[in-house]
Amino acid sequence: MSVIFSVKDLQKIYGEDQPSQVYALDGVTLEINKGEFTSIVGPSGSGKSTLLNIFSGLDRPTHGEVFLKGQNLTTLSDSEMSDFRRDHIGFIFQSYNLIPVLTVLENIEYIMLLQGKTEKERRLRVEEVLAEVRLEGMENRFPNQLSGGQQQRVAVARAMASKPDIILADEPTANLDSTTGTELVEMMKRLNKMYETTFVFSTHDPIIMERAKRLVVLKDGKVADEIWQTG
Amino acid sequence: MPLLLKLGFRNLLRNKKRTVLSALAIGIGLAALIFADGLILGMRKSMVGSLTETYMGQAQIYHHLYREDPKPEKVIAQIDKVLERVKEASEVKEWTTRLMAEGLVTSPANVLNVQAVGIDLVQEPKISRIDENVIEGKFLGKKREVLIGNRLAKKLDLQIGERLVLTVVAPKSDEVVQELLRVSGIYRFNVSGFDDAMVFVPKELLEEMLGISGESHELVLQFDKEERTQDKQSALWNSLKFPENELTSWRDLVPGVMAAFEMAKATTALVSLFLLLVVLIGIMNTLFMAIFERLFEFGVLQAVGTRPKFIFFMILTEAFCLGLVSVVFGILIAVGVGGLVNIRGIDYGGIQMAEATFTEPIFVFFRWQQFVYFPLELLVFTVIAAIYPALHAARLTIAESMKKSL
Ligand SMILES: Nc1ncnc2c1ncn2[C@@H]1O[C@H](COP(=O)(O)OP(=O)(O)OP(=O)(O)O)[C@@H](O)[C@H]1O
Ligand SMILES: [Mg+2]
Repeated sequence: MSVIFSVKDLQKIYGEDQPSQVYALDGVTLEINKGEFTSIVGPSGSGKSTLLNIFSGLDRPTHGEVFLKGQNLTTLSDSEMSDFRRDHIGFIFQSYNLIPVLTVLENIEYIMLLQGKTEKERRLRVEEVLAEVRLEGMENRFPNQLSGGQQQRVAVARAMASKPDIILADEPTANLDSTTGTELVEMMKRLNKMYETTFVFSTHDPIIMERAKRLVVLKDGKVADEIWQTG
Repeated sequence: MPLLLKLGFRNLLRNKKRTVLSALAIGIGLAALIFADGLILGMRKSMVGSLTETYMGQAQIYHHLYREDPKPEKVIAQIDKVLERVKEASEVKEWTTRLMAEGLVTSPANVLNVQAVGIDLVQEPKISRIDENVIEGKFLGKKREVLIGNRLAKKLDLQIGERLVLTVVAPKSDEVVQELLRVSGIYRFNVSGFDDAMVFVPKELLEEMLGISGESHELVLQFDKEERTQDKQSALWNSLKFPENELTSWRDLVPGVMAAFEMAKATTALVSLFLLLVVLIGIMNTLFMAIFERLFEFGVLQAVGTRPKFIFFMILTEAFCLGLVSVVFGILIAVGVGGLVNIRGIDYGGIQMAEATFTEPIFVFFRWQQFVYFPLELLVFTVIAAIYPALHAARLTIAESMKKSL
């Protein structure tokens, strides 16, 4: 197994120049292998979102380095980071992932449009990923015409569409009921198996955690435990 | 449709009420610009028209010393040659010649100083409105007739058909010459200096009285276009210039009128600037509102790999689209209001301004430039106004936009 993603001695301090500093992350070192299906878990405020944001370059660490496929993300400029994210990282938020003025089809092809893919390539790929998340025929709906679960599936489809090296998801199921949430994770797991896409997602939910192969437990900004499961 | 335009228009449609209100506000600004320009143009046309068509004409030829010291002997030099040139020039639409003299009029009731003007009975009606402004009686027809202003008629206590005596001094012989004339008509220009102090007689009569036949003091010209008075270096202008004579335009005779327009223009420009500033602030406000309610979305856009630059241009495009909608509103409002006003025109009812009188209603004058330059200006302004909000949106860090929006 090859390491695709690694962080070393990661620190994120909020309010560094203020008397009350918050160590959101305090020395996190972690390696993620290609094709892993990993969940970041831990109590509220333990630093899950902070970690995922730094993984994806949405936020910068106070100290430490982030490597994705050999590229040190902390040295990239904002524009370079944008392009790198576009080409290598898929990101899924808890909710409101979609651009409300774009249709399902337009949302999914958005990244490919930024990449300069031809219309034909884009349409083919959209059909493919829509089938994979079982939303065939929904191309022309707007996000507000979809249920929460469907919206999250479109977000997964969008993340998959540009074939990134890793998909990061911050509590993707938190706004869904447990059945829909479980379905979403099952779907992600299937995609993980079929395409060997690496997934890292955070969650509070024990039922969701069960589905992960590897659990990284955060506590007070530190990795408290790591558990390998036979999901 | 390019992605940016699609996003721009659809984002505007998201909050239709706000978009319509903003576009209306900006559109009204544009309409005001177009309308003000059209009104000033209309005023100008009306003023210049009434000035030049009433009596003065667009251009005039005199003996080069006549205006300084209007003595009867200072007649236009080489009048035959000058007239030849005038008749040759295709740009000259109409012309007439006049002879002038200081004189006295005597009625049983009064004796008054007047300016007597000998007019060409065929040519004069083509140039001036003396004939149209006769309110009682008739225009001149016979040799021993005279037209007097309504205020002069009152002072002299004269009715149509009654007689007065015109007295002038013949320049060569210094003899006092008198003629008994019949009042054929009473005119009214509603301009002081005319109605109470000018009498019109046939030119041949005055020629005879002054003993200078075939001569003129004033040659009045009307061109095919008023703009011909602007360029005094033109071939036309040069062809009419004679060394012994002076060639003037209405602009020289009533410089106050042009100055008044320059001032009106400057005032409008200043007001426009303020208007555009208000529009600018309105646009910025609208865009900031639109940005703040979508902070999370900008975060998502950046999270999936949108460059800050793209977000910057996204906001600029959105502003541009808003500008386009506003331009449509503005043009509709301008044309609508202008059209309504133009059904009757704006009646200034004989108000006198800088030596000119608005005798007819003023119409808003539209020209294509107003519908190209002003909208373009507005669009440029809109995009400029969007730069600051767009920079703000582009500089949002993702973590920030996510936090603030939750
Ligand atoms: N912008 C910020 N300024 C100051 N402190 C912050 C900021 N963002 C996060 N924190 C703090 O950093 C710590 C980690 O926050 P983070 O959002 O990563 O936790 P989390 O594990 O995702 O929690 P949750 O499960 O509630 O989403 C918390 O103590 C939080 O209060
Ligand atoms: Mg969180």
